[in-house]
Amino acid sequence: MGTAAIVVLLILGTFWGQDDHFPFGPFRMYSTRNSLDGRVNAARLELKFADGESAQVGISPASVGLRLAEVEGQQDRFEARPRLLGHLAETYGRLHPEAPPVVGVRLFDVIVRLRGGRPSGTPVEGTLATWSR
Amino acid sequence: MGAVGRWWFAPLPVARVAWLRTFLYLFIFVDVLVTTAWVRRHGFVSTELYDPLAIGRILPLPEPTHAVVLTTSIALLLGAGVAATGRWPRGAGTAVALLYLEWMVIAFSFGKVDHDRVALLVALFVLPTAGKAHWRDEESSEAAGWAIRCIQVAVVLTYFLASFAKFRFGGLNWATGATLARAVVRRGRWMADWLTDVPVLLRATQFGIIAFEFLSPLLLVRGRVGYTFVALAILFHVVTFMSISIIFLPHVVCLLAFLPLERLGRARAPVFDALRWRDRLPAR
Repeated sequence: MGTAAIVVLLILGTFWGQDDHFPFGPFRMYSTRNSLDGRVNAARLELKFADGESAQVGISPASVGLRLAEVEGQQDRFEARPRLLGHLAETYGRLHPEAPPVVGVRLFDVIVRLRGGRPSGTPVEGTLATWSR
Repeated sequence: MGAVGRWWFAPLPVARVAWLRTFLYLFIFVDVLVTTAWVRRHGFVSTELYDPLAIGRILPLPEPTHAVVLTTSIALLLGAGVAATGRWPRGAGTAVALLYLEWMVIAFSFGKVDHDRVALLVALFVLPTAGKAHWRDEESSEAAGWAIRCIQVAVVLTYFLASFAKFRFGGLNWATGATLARAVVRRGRWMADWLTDVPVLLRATQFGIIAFEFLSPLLLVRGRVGYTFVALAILFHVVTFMSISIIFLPHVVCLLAFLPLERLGRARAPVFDALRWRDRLPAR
């Protein structure tokens, strides 16, 4: 009975569920389709330090405690409430005690165009949200 | 009991359960400390960025503060350490299953859910039900059969249902798109450059993925067909790792449920004699 219920939940999740229903959500890894002439985007972070320096940092658990897909997954929240970027600065500080304090964060997008399924042209940047102390 | 029930409860070697426990509980160390060590980093992130999954909103789970994340990881590893030895299979095993579920809530409540965990979660919840099992048990049991089948079915469903998710989210023409090109642009390693130069190859691979996922129930066929498909699955995961540095490792370890692990116990090795506790052979 229990076995059948779990199988049914997994099937329901596949057709009607969302990620939120984990562990019964759809197995949607790489399930979206990208147009051969579409765009591929990836979020990036730029940090401004108290000593006046700025640096682009990769978004990773080692840098800000979150994975790239997690920051992108919460992108709407960062855009609506840029104040939340301050938490990334705070985590960066905790994980990099040797670095000067972070006083500003810029979340931006790098967009690569595809043509016939191949990257073409120069990548374009667009700012999504900024925060400063 | 219908044909499905007879298949699902057909006796399988008890020793395979013992080996699966050892491998999967030891894998938890690899998972927590090495391959998905990023989960622990969530303890350094403000709980304002914690956006709990439905299960985390329904169950009264604590917010993942640094202390909660640390405590969960330590308890999980202690439990897994005990369970890997085969002692207290029900108690320690159930504790590990529940703690790992909480670990997954901590992992996936920050904006991204991974889809490679269902088979492992199923395994952790069903392995305790088989009771005592020893690496050198010669018997087969229905309880072992049920547990092993559950893991196998979870592995197959992960592949099989993934193809339907592609049709649902990507459309029926998912395979003709640039999904892999996107993955390679975002995550590609050494193979990336020449892969994006050959879009036809990427699209052919996409058709291959759909075919592989549709045919995945063949994993359940006994004998050569099944083993060939296991080998194909491993090859698929290795190539994925080489091209976009993603490996669904928690899922991959569950492929072990398809292998005759019980044969490992028949090898003569002093270490197994040392580990052999007569009193732990299952009562029946």
